[in-house]
Order: sequence, then C-alpha cells, then structure tokens
Amino acid sequence: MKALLLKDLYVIWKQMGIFLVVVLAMSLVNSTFNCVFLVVWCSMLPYTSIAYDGQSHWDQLAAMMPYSKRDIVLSKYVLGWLCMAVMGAICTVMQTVVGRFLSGEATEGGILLISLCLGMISLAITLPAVLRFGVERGRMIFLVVIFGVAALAGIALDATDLRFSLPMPLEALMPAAAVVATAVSIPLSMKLYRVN
Amino acid sequence: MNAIELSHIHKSLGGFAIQDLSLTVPSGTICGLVGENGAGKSTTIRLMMNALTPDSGTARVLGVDAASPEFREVKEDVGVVLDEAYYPETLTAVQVGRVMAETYRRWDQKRYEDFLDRFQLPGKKRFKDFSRGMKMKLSIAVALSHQPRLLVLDEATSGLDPIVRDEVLEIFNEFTREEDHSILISSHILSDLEKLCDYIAFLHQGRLLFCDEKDRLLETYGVFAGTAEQLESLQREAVVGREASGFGGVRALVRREEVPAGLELERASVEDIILFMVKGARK
Repeated sequence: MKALLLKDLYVIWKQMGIFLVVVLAMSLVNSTFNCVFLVVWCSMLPYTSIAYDGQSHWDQLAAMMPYSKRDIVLSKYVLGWLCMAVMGAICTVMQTVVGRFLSGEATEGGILLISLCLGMISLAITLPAVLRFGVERGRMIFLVVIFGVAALAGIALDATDLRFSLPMPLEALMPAAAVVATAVSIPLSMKLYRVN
Repeated sequence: MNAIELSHIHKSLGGFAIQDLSLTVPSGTICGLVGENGAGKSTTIRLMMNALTPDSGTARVLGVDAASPEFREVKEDVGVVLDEAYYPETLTAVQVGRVMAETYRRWDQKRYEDFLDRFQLPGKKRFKDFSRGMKMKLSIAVALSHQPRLLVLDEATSGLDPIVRDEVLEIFNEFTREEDHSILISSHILSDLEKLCDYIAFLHQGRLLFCDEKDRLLETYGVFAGTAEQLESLQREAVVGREASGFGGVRALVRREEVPAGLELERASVEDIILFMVKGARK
C-alpha cells in the first residue's frame, strides 16, 4: 500500500502547492467555516488521484502488479485520512498562531475534531460510488453529498444550541458516526471496486 | 513446467467473446500472440493476469492458478508491458522508480537506472511530455527491473524506432537465456515475432486458430506463385488461402505435404501464413 500512497502523493503534489496557498490565505481569517471547509476539501483529494488514475488507465496496469484489491481500495481512504490529518494540523497551527496574533482567538479543538469527522463521513459516503463509476459519473453523487454535508455542518455548528438537544455531545456523536460510516463504506468499496 | 496454461477459457464482453481458449507456453520459450485488432490479444493477457475473471475455464501462470490468492505472489515474477504505458502523467521516471521500489520486493534500482541510461530516458521529465517510444521504453525498463521470470508484452515494440526496436528485441532474447525465463509477446509487427519467437499463437475473432512451433509452421507451409489454372490443379485441402497477384497470376499459401513433390514453392514467412489464414477464414 505504501507504493500506492507514494504514487498518489506524487500525483496530488501539484494540487497541494495551490492548496497550501489557499490554506495560508484562509488561515488569516479565523472562522469555524474555514476549518471545516479546508478539512472537508482535503477529503476530496483522493478523487483527484482517482481522476488521474482514470485518465492514465493506471488501474489497468495496477491490476497486473502485485497489489491486492484491498490495497488499492484502502489506499484511497488512507490518502484522504492523511490529507485531512495534515490539513487539520496545519489549520490548527495557523489558526492558533495567526488567529491569536490577529484576533486574540484560537480555533477550538472540538471544531477540528468535528471537521475531521465530517471529512471522513463524506469520504465514506462518496468513495464507493466513485470507485465503482469513476470520478466523472461519481461526480454528481459526490457534489450532492459534499453540499449536503457542508450545509448540515454549517447549520449544526453555527446553531450551537443544537448541541444541547442531541442525545450526546456533537464531539462524541461525530466520531461515532465517522467510524460507523467508514466501517460500512470500506467493505462496500471492496465489493464495488472494479477496473474501469 | 509450463509458464502459461490457459484451459478452455470463455469470456463474453458485450458483442465480443473469447471462446474456448486453450494455450500453453512452455517454460524457457518465447510465444508470439498474433491477431487482428480486436481479436482478443489484450483480453487474453488480462484474463491470464486475473485482471479479468473468465466466465469459465482456468488460467495458470508459473504453475499457480490465476484465480487463487497465491497469485498475487506470482505477479512479483511477471514483468508486464501493456499496449500503452499507463503511468500517471504527472510522474517522472525517477518517481516511477521509487513507486516500483515499494511495489516489487526484488526491485533492482541499479538495473532500472542502467535501463534509463541505456534508453536515454530523462529522470526528471514528466511522463506526459514523453514521446510514445519513450513511454514504452520506460515500461520495458520497469518490467525488466524486478527480476521477473515471465515477461508479458502487449504491443511492447510498437512506437519504437527500428534501431531501438532491434535493441529491445535483443534484450528480450538475452532475457530468455536463463532457462526458466519465458515471454508472451503480442505484436502487429510480425517480422519481430519471426525473429524472436519459438512459438506462434494466432487468435482470430476470439478463437485460437493455432499455436505451434514457429519452425514447424515455416516447414509446414509454402507460398505458391503461378497461374490460377495451376492452382486449381492442386488438391483443395492443400490451399489455405489465395490472392490475385496481378497480370492474371495468383499467390497462395499451401501445405507442403499436400502438393506434388516437384512443385516449386517460395518460403512462407510468418506474415504470409497469418495473412493468408485471415483471408482464408474470411471466405
């Protein structure tokens, strides 16, 4: 799987350059939205890699190499998680340092956790369809899910009163939801994955 | 041991089907897979490598069933070059080497770098800026750098200029000097196959028409050149395929054993045999 992750990181490296500039710019403004947006955006990076794979027909070559289907599918999840974790770390550092310096506020740890969970959930929901149909055809599902997740996140996080009406704190509910969604999504992706 | 054994494979793909394909490539030999575009060569390779699941039949490579979990290990021993080099376009040759070093346990970085030098491939140029010939050379370099015992080459020499093609064919020849090394190569360049192969397998519309030793094929068939009347005088079974050759003449692929002993025949090349057989099959 290390080989596949390395390949994907090389593929998205160019994207990351632009991404870091956006992150730096957005980090100057401390807001919940920025943190959620950046981390959830990172969950999209596996789709960039899948798009490049599709464009070059890499999957046909990969099928001839000693990679298991499990490695191929899991590597896309791990790539998403890695990118989100790195972005979460960058976001925290930038918003803590720059945010404190400019506005005297820092991003709450809970917001970051919720952002990571949202990214994991959106990845878990969309990846099976994208692995099955490719990025082009999976895009519609992807857009609907991302907008849905972002809208719900905005409502849930801005309306802080919501936290008190939930059966458990959002900080506990979201990780549980992320774990369940991922646990269902990975076997589904394994079943749906095919060489396009 | 056989390097490749395909047994009664069927696979339907929309309007096309591989039908009852049985093919054996003995270890230590080079087998050329010939056929028109769409004959099923690439599909056969995908079935053989378990990239496609057959509807029925079995494929064994280096003694292991391609459908078994152990087959993943076998892929360490198989170097594959497909009809296009399917590496992501943003990668460079150096990055491809690093990825392959993590892919194959017996990756030989020195050998890979030697091939990059030998093929004059730039290490830091992006793959999308490579010419088709350069892309194929990179694929060949990768396929040969993890100490494979079997090379599976799908149109691996297409897009190469004649000088490099000759050099690559020599590399393939060198590869089979090890007695357990084998090659399955599909190509449209029949002269390459004639130069390289011990066996020729001919696929036509998803069916294997024959798989035979090249030398035996060349001994079995000859090309008759003469008049239509002379050709008509031969036994019907002797003539495999025919074509008009201008000025009322005719050329035909005939079975040497079934024509009169004194009849003068030209030597048939692999290309003659295949072309006449395709024409014969169309009639």
